[in-house]
Formats: sequence, C-alpha cells, structure tokens
Amino acid sequence: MDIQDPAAASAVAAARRSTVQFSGRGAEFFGIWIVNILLTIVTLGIYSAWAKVRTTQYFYGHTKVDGHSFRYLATPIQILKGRIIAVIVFALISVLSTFSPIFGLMAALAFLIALPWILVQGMKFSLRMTSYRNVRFGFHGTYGSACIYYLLLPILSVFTLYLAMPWALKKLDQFIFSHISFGGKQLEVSTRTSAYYKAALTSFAVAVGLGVVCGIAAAVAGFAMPEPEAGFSLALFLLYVAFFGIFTLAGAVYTAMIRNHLLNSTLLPQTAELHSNLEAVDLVWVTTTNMLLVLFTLGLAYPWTKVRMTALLAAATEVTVYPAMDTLTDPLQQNSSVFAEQAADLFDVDLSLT
Amino acid sequence: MIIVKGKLQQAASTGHCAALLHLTEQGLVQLYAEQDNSLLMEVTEDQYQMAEVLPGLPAELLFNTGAVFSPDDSSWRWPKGGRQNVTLKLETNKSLIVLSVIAVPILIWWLTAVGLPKAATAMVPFIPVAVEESIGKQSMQVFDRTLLSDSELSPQLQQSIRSQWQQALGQLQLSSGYQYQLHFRASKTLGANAFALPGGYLTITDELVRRLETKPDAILAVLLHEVGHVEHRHGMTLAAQATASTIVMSVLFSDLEGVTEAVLGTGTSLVQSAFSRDMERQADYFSTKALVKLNKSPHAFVEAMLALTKDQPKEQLSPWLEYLSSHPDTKERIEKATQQAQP
Repeated sequence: MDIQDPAAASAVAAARRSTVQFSGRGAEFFGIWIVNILLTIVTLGIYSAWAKVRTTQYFYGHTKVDGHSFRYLATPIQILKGRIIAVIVFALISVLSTFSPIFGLMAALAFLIALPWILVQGMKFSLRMTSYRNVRFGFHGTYGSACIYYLLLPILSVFTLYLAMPWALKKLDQFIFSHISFGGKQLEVSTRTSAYYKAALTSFAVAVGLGVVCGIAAAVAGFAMPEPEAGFSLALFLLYVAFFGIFTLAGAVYTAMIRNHLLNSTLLPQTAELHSNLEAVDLVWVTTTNMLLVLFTLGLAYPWTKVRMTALLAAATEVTVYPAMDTLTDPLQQNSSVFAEQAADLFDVDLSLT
Repeated sequence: MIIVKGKLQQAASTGHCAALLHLTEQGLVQLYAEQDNSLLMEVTEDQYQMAEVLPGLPAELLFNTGAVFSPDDSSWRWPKGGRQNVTLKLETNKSLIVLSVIAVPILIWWLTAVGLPKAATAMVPFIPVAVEESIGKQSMQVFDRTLLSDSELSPQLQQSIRSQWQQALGQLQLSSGYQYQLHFRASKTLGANAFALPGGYLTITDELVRRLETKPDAILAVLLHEVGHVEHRHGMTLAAQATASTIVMSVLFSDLEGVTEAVLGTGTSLVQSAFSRDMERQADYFSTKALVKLNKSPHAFVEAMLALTKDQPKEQLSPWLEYLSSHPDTKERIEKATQQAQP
C-alpha cells in the first residue's frame, strides 16, 4: 500500500488486528449433539437436516472476528431436499449395480464427471448461506475450472510419480480461495509453490522417520513374544496401528504448514487480511489426543474434541480489518430480481457431500 | 414495556450501531440509536420474527427488511418466544441429555443387530429369482477372471461327485426353483474352500475335494451347506443389509469425521459378523437336516469340518476373538452336528 497517499495511510493506522474468538463449550455442544442424534433416530433420519443446521449455527454463532459473529442462513428444508436426492441416487445406483456390474462401472464414471459440479454447487451453497455482519459470502468457480483443478491436475500428477502433486494442490487451493467473494470483492491469493513442496517434504520426512522407528519397535516386540507366530501377528497388529497413527501425524504437520502459508497469503483487497500461526506440534497434540478420547469413550467425547479443535484453530488465527469493512454492501441481496430469487430457491439444495 | 440493549445490524451491509430496543405489550418495536437517542426504526409485530435460539448465543430479532437486532446479553430471552425456544429447551434439558446418552447406544445397537437385518430379510423375498440368477452369473464370471482357474481333477472324479450331488438334490425335492450349477475350480488364494453365489452357483475347490476324496458323504455335506445359503437367500440378504446400513449410517452420522466413523464402523462390522455367524449356523442346520432326510449320517458333516481344520491347529479361538469371526467356532459346529446325529 502506498504510504504517500494520506487516505491509505490513515486506513493503515485505523486497521484493527484481533484474534478470532471461539466461545463454544464442549458440555453445551454435547447436549445439542446427543439430543440431535436421538431425534434423528426417532424421526428415521429426517431430523438430521435440522441437526446439521443447529450444529453449524452453534459453531458459526460462537466464532467472532473483530467482535462480530458469523451466521448460518440455510434452512433445514434446503438441507433435507439435498439429502433426499442424495439418498435416492445412492440407493438407485447401489441396487442397480448389484444387478449389473457394468451399470456400476458406468455409474462410477458418471459420478466422476459430476463430481466437480457437485463440489462447486456445494461450495456455492455453503458460502451463500454464510454471512458475516449481514453480508453473505459467495463462490464463483466454474465447472470447467473445477474439472481441471479437482480431476485433471491430480490425475496427471500421478504420472509424474506424484512429484507434481504439491503444485497441483497449490493450484487447487488457489482455485478455491481466489473464487470466494465477500461484499462484492474477491479474495486475492498469492501462495508460493515452494511452500507446498516444503510442507510435502517435511511431512514425508516425518512419515519416513516415524515409520522406521515404529517398524523397529514392532519387530522388537514381535521377537520378544515366546511363539514366533504370535510374535508375527503382534508385529503386524502394531504396524497396522502405527500406519494409521503415522498417517494422521504426518497429515497434521502438512495441514498446519499449508494452513499458515495459505491464510498468510490471502487477503480481501483493502478490507481484510488473514494471519495464521498454527504450530504443527499443537495440531499434532490435539489431533492425537482427540483420537484417543473418541476411541476410549466409544465416540461420546466427540463434541469435546470438535470444540477443542475449533478453539485451537481460532486461537491460531488473526484477522486485520480495515475501515472499508464497515461500509461493505451485499451485491447479491441488492440487485437480485424476483425471478433470480425464485430460481435460486428451486435449486437451493445443499448438495455438499458432508 | 421492555427495553433491551444491543446491536442493530443493517440489512445487506456491514453497517451496524449500538441501539436500544423498546418492545411494547402489543408487539410494537422501536429502535433508538444509543449515541444520540434518535429513532432508527419502528415496526409492528408482523414485520419481524424471533430467530431460533442456540445455547450460549443471543436471541436475535430478524426484521423483514433483512436487518438484525442482537441483544448484548447472550442469556436474554424474549417473552412469548416459546415456539422458537423449544429446540433450545430440549438441547439443554439435563434429563433428556442423560436419557439420550443411554438410549442412543441402545437404539444404534438395535438398529444394526435387529432392525436392519430384519428389514433386509423382509426385503429379499421381493427380489425375483431371475434377478438373483443374473447377479450370480455375473459374479461367477468376475470370480473366474480373478480368483479361480480350471479344475485339475480327473473327469471321472468330477462326474462321480456331480452325479451323487444331483441324485441328492433330486431326492430332497427343493421347492424354491433354483437351477443349481456345480463348478469345480482350482484356486491358490482360496485353498480348501467352497462357496455359493446367489441364484445357485456352487463352487468347490480342488484342494477341498482332495482332502475329502475318500469321504463322498462329507463332500455332499459341504455342498448341502452351500445349498442352505442359497435356499435361505443369504447372499442377497447380506447385500441388501449392506446397502441399507450404509444409507442409515451416513444419514445418521454424516457430520462425523475420521475416528468416530472408524469406531462406528468397527462396531457395525462386529454386529454384522454376528449376523453372518447366524447365517452359517442356519446353513449348517440345513446341511445336517438334509443328510438325515437322505438317510445319511450327519456325522459326514463332522468329518468335513474336521478335514477342513486339519492343518489349522490354532482354530480354537479365544472367546473374545470369536466376535471378529464370520463363522462360528468349529468345535461348536461339530458339537451341534454330533447332537443331531444322535436322535
């Protein structure tokens, strides 16, 4: 930004930087979660749409940036419609493909072709249903580019023995983030390919290091057993557990590094800047302990683990807000014709797969 | 009149200001700017609604214009907000939470152990036999291309087993109408094995025939066990159940991730292998009963079981490992068959 410009200089001076606040509590969310599951079972799954809205509203409402919380605007009926469509399509495909494997193959192919479209629609829906200070987010990616970044580049990078994969992932992140808009402005992303390679290599090194250590430990434990057969099974079991653990840990290292780089390289022009300083160690710690908590409570600790993870991510995120933020308007709501609104209503179903 | 302090968020814009809200008994709302006490807006009851409230979050007032009023005190609740607070009351009701903690695991267990298998079993009779045969045919082709190769048994041996089997089938006079086919195949991967595909496609491996070569009745017992699976339509039931449980679980827990799913998945497959053990018992029972009907000793089944487990001294599983197994304990199977052998 040009400091010579007095208006810009005062804007910098008036910028507010603050950490993202998350005020959700595990015990509170536990109540929402368990009651929602009960209602979902009792209503044969129909309530799951309401459960999704309640859960999302809870997490959005408890997340504050610069003193303002997010709001989730989707109605349960929109979610329900999407789920009914998904269930019918899934049931049809799985029934028909047991009758004819060739149909199954064709359905898989059709799904692959439809996947980018489903992902784009899902992101459009989720972001349109997310509002901050009464202005909605938006997503402007197209099916064509989604095909390139979700399918083509990852598949092609397989032929480079995955050497091009970090680059493909960088392009994918860039595609997603640079097509997100807020108040008529689109996010600007300036990520570097080198940062993605650094993260990939680091997590690969972590995985190999841990793999060697676990392999030796499993072999030692195996040979310590009195019977060779029992020793072999024990070693195999330990390696299976280790594989799962290593995958999670290396994944956490990668996630933390990429998240920091991506958020630190993303801004909403003249309006806001994102900052992330997530320590890989913290993410690894919370991920591991969360996994153990869920395992040893047979799933009952899930609400606490979700709140814990959200709180960790919020605490590691800061946002700088410039005065322009206070005068943004929502172009979507202002010049939408009646027809566009009706058409949007008709297709406003949540097709996101999660 | 009630006065609430809060924040007014303008419609479709990031503009906002601190405001005081006056609510009269008639439902009239007046909003005053906190800064200079100027009147910002005045609306009647039909021009706003109360948002659904979530635990720990303020009870917002949504105006038809798109503006939102959010009270500063997050525990403040509107009078007459009863309907909007129903869900909140359920979610914060301690007894309901305790009840859910007890009821949810029981309901999920019931669903996977009783409800879904029952639903699947009930659905299967509606599947036409012709459809089942086409599934069996296509699966057989897949198996032939992947796991199986041509049998190396002598044609005479194949013929003698086949004719004994056909004679037995004729005597049993099954009313289900399946066109049974017996296939001899070699397979390194499957070892000594026999399996049945929907629609009556029976396969027996060379390895198994060689082990039981001197005991034709034992071979018949194995084949009758497989016929039992076909007659009870076990293959279709499993397929129907897998589809149904995938749908139910993904609807119930679509918002869960990673580990929780793994926990649930393990639980479900444990319960499902109990279901599959029940199927094996049913097929065992079918086999021994058929042997009696053919005036043969059910002991042939015991011999088959013994021959099958000959090279597996570790077959006796520790009690807790039994939950992981898709087949019942061999000892139990032999005991049951021996009991049936002594009328």
